[in-house]
Amino acid sequence: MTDLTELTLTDALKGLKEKKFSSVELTKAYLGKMEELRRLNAYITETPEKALQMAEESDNRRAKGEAGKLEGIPLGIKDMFCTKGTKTTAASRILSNFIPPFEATTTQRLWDAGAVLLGKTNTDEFAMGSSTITSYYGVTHNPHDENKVPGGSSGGSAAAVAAHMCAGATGTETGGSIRHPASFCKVSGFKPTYGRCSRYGVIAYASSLDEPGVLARSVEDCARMIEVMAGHDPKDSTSSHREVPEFHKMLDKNIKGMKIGIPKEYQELLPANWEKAVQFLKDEGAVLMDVDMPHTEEAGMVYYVISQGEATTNLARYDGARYGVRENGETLDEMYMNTRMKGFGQEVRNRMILGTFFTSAKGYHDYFVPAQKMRSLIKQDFDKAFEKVDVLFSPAVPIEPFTIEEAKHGAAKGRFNDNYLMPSCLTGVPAGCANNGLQVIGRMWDDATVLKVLDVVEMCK
Amino acid sequence: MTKIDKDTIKEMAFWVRVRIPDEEAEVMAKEFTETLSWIGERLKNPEIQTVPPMVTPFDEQIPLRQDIVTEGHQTAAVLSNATDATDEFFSVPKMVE
Repeated sequence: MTDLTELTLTDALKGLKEKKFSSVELTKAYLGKMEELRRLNAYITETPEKALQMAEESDNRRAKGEAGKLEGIPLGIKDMFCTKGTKTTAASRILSNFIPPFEATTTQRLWDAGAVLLGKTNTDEFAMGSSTITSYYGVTHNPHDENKVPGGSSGGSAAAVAAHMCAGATGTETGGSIRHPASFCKVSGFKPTYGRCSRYGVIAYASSLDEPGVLARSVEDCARMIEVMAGHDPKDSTSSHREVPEFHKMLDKNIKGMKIGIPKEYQELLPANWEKAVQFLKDEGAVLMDVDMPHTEEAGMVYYVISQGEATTNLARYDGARYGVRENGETLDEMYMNTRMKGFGQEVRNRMILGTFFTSAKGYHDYFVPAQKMRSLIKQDFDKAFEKVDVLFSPAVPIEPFTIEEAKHGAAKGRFNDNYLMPSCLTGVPAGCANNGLQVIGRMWDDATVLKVLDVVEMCK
Repeated sequence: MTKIDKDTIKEMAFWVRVRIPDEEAEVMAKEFTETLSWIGERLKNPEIQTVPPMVTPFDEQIPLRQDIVTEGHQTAAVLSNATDATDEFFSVPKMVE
């Protein structure tokens, strides 16, 4: 039998359906790959026993003709998603003993559709970073060059997908944390419209920005996962009642006549495959035009203010009393201090301290609210662009992955690291990165068109 | 211009219940003052006076829920991750003499 981990998620589903192999066989192949490549540190927690049990149950369901949409597919889950009974750490020491008594809505839907949990993937601590170097559980290595970072914060998921240590994985975005590692690890990543996927059970970083999404080896694989995860959830008040289309069935490779905008502000630095990709889309019949997004440059600043302010609030819950690691102290305040000093890494502590300023009376009035107004202007850029075009097209991250050493010395602070990613996080529009590092951004709720164009973009090698 | 000094940093650290050594607070204060100065310049853009603040990207009505218990009476699950619990309560160091 060929190596089953070579199959894409879509092809694996086909093989399972045609009974060429079982979910147990497929799962064992992935568990073998995880063991072989453990040095990449893509997973914080591996769950082989649970995986085999779930695979066996899946095979039984399939035998009875009860196969779900992802029946038997082994997945990695970013360690920001709470998984009932399986340790969930957010890559932090403070949650190193946390066993959630509940399941995130999005992962529950994956299990309900028949998917199998292989383990929990590494991330920057509380998803704060774009290199996966701030994890308490160590750095994840880029499978294409192990001296380099996988990007982040969903770097464990991206590395696991790229190294065939899972058929697909979940990720989360706050400022680009799916598309960034997807670009660095040459896999596909998609974050849907804010409100498509429930945030219930996803450990909060900055609530007005956090979005669950997916990473996989192809756009079709992403589409198949996201259509299962999306949909209204009464447990998240910002989750939409809109109907979720069967996204994978809408990938018809036809973009003839489609209007594709290329933001001028996203062309300052372009990757080597750019010109070829533009020509490719023209050859496919798309109409390409330049568009203006004049407030793009402000996105990083707005993100800095809003994400830190919201993070401070969200991370107040880690008190050592209700869950997570506790460090004792003589008084309650001392217990809080000792717990939070030992529990949080420096990056997280720094962001909380500065976030405090933005939620203080002066910081709120002089910086936080004006930053929210600037956020409106960035949104207007998108609204105006989408009056003229159907989607936007650009590189995701126009630079090569940096080395782990460079990342430790602040390489991720470079302005081209996430400039082209943050505006779409601030505005909540759907966006994805194909496995060739090129991204497509769409109108609110028009996830289907983003995936459709991305599926064509991916054909340009 | 907003100037942040070492003591302000230390006070903010206390608000979020973490400690920061003097020398680190000094460096952070200097860097944060510079960052705020840069942000302040960007936010002088008069255009921002023409728009409301954007609180969330969610563009649908956010519903109010009925004030009813949905998944109550799960004391054991709620306490399952506590380092220290007594009866039905989380235990913390004594607060009142």
